[in-house]
Amino acid sequence: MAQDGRYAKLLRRPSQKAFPDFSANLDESKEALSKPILVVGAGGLGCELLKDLALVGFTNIHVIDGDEVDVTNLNRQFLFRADDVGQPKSTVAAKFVMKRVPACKITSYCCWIQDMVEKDSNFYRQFSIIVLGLDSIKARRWMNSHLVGLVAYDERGDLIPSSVIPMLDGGTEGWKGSVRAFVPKVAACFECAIDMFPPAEKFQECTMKTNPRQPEHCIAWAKTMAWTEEWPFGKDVSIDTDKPEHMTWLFEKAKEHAAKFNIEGVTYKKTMGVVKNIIPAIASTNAMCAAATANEAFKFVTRSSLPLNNWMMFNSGTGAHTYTYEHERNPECPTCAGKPVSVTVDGEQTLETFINEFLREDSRLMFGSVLNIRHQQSSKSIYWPKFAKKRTAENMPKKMNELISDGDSLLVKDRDSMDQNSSGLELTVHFA
Amino acid sequence: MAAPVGYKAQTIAEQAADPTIRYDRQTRLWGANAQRLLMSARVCLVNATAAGAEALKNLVLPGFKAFTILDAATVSELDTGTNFFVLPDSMGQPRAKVVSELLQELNPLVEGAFVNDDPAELIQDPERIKFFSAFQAVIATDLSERVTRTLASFLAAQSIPLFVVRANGLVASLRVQAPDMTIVEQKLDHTFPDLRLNDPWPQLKEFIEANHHLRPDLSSEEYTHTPFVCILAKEWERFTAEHGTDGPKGVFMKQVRTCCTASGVIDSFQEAGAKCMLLWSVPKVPANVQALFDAEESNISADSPLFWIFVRAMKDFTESHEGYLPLPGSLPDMTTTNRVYLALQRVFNEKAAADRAAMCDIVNGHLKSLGREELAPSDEQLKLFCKNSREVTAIRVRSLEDEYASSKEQGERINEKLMEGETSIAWYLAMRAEERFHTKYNRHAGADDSQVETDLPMLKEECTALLSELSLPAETVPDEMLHELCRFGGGHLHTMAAFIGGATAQEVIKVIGGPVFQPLNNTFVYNGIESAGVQFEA
Repeated sequence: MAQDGRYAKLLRRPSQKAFPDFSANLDESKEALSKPILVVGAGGLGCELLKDLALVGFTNIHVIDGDEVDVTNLNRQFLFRADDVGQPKSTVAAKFVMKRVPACKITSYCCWIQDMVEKDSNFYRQFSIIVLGLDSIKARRWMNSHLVGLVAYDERGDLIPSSVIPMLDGGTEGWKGSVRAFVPKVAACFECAIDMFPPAEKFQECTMKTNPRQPEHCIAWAKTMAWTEEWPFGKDVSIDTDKPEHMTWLFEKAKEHAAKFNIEGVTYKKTMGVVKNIIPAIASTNAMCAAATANEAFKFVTRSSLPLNNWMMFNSGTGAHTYTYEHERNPECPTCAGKPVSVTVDGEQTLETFINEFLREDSRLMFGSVLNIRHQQSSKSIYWPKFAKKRTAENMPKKMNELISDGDSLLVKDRDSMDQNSSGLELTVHFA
Repeated sequence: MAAPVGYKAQTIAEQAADPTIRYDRQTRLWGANAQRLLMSARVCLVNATAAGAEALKNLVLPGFKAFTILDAATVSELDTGTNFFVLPDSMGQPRAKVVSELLQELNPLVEGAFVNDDPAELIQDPERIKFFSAFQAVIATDLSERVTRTLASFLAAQSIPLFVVRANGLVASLRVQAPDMTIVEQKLDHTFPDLRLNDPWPQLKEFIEANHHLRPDLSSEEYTHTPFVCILAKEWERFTAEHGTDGPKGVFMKQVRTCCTASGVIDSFQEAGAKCMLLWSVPKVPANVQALFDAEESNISADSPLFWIFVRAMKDFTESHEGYLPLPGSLPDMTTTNRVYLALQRVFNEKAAADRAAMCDIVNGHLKSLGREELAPSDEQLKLFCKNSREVTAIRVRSLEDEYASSKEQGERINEKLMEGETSIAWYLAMRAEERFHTKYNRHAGADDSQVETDLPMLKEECTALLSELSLPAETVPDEMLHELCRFGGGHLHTMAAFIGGATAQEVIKVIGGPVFQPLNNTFVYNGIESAGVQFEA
């Protein structure tokens, strides 16, 4: 088929720069490209990824995104038109690409990644590779820890290769972008490099309220302090950034505050930027990032060329600057190193609080839906709603220091598994 | 409550057609001025291959005024497998028409057009080549070396930027040829703002004296809110009194750290500790500005562009201002009270305004003697220049003709990159050799399966000749790399087209939008095997 010309040369011809197990057989490659793969996100990166993966030969793509099309997406999320505003992104994107590339089947899901395991705990196992086009660190961490958790070992303690699902992560911001290749339990995982991300900027309350110096301080004050003091649209009615009335109120409030302190520069545009945490975004950076990411997916699945090892960054603000290097595994990584993570908690908190707040919110852990907590010292699960309902219900209101002793170990799993070889995260719990 | 400026009750369709809303996310990056320039620019694409179409897509989306595609090909089955901007049933139709329609459809605010004509013929006709004069930028792909060079010569004479895009298997490149560019807004990350804490001007000195941490009888509130600029300036004063201005930096940093520990963990003191470098890492005249002072163009004449008049004036300014450039005036945020911060801002704003006024006088002195109209003190261009006094720069881009002369100097530049560890640059050489192969044998190396191995020695012959012209050793391009090119056989992979298309669009935007930021000077090569790139002056 003449259309095969797009990749036939690469896939038919052997090379020293291919994976050692590359067969140089076009039919085998096409078979590999027909296995399901997953794209997470159908926004700036997602649209580009779907186009790239479809045109490079993948024929069975799944895409997840819980968001709807917005008018400010149109400058770069090119699968959407003005008529699509308000529609689910994943559905619209899938439809558009399938029309352009009929050989490609795209299944779309309008929900969030954590939701998929509620419906089917094995959902992610079916994919040969998972490609991320996300805009949140939290979501990446969740996906990463989930895939690390899927890795299984045989009786000898060796890795079962089919349980290892590579994760390709693309990210962009303004002119900058990065592509990272993760192979869970084999090479560095996302959590291994978590310290590379600067902490999110948070202004101190006293700065915002009594000592603002910048327009941003005034806007942040309106958002985080004035709103919850005045509840302008009704008690407990939160800010809806899509409602112009809400945004206008915040803008006027911020301007008033700024005027008291002789600060200039509060504009509606700036207000939108701060409140919505807008990151400038352009088509070309997303194009480059997604293309490099999709390229990695192609090489990985077809084995036709060696992979990125393992982090590429680029910055198009400074010429065409790229930097590629290998980020090593963190031997103390709480997610993939397999060593217990030491945590200090309030012994007086209930098991319920421990699960719903601590396990979810602690930045090293961030469990999604916890399915099982096993107390290692007693070899008993203290939390297992699926198979030990009664015991779980009895334990939930009990204090942690009633259930376990200081220094005890808990093995926490957030997917359902009877398989002892499936990994969970072991915590060594100390009481404050 | 009155609605803010810019908010009207618009329908979705109206919002989508409103540039301030549609382009909001991108104008936050490159600013309204650059956006205005993009929206009045016309770009021409020669050959709507996947790489070309992808480059154009990333210019249509942000709202270039118009584009024209020049291409004589008809849509082939290969196109349907690599190009997003053809339909499955477009086969046999003119590619220029099909691609232009599907690109146009991305953004109703852009005007698309096409010319179904052979680019090589048009370019090699001295009359017909004038077709390109209507454009502000030209993107060319899939042209032979000879035709590319002819196009490049014409566009250089017309001062129209050219972007040459190449893609072959898992390697791709972009070459920018542009007229000399002067850039006022590079928009660099401001790690070292110009604060002059080691040599404060009188008003700043006064401010420091009134607000530093060593004053007796400071209230706790005042102490914890001492701005870091005062802490550093005062500590530096104490330090230089004992050690002179060339004293050991480690000792100074220790002195400031001691201050921090004595203060407890107070933000402003921590900020001071982290910013000691400000005292010695901000040269009076940065290298890029000195290069402008030394350039031929700073010897201004009656028809000198305003930019160079400003440069010359700035050079004169430094001579009457102890070697200092006009103060940019921007102040980073810092922990302190609102009152103290605003007072400090005033000090900086006043100095910047005074320097600007002095600059205006010098500029007008020159303009007058050149018989040209003088500027108003509030002139916006002068204001922008002074605000960016440390960042202003000029770029001279080597022409394609110079590149193809394959000189020893070029070889030295390439060797320098290799010494820096940029192994990807060998791909540039391999691609140059492959281009010669293409010219000689009228096909790509390894075009057919049967030719992969047999073409290798012929490709190597071209490469050896090229390396010899550049005075580079034969081992510079490993056989493995040449073999890989033969394996690629001129193939098209959409992911590579999309990558280099994105990179191309970035450069077009930076050049047309000002220029702003730092345009590529002048070649970018990306290999999709290691996912590594290199930029250099070819």
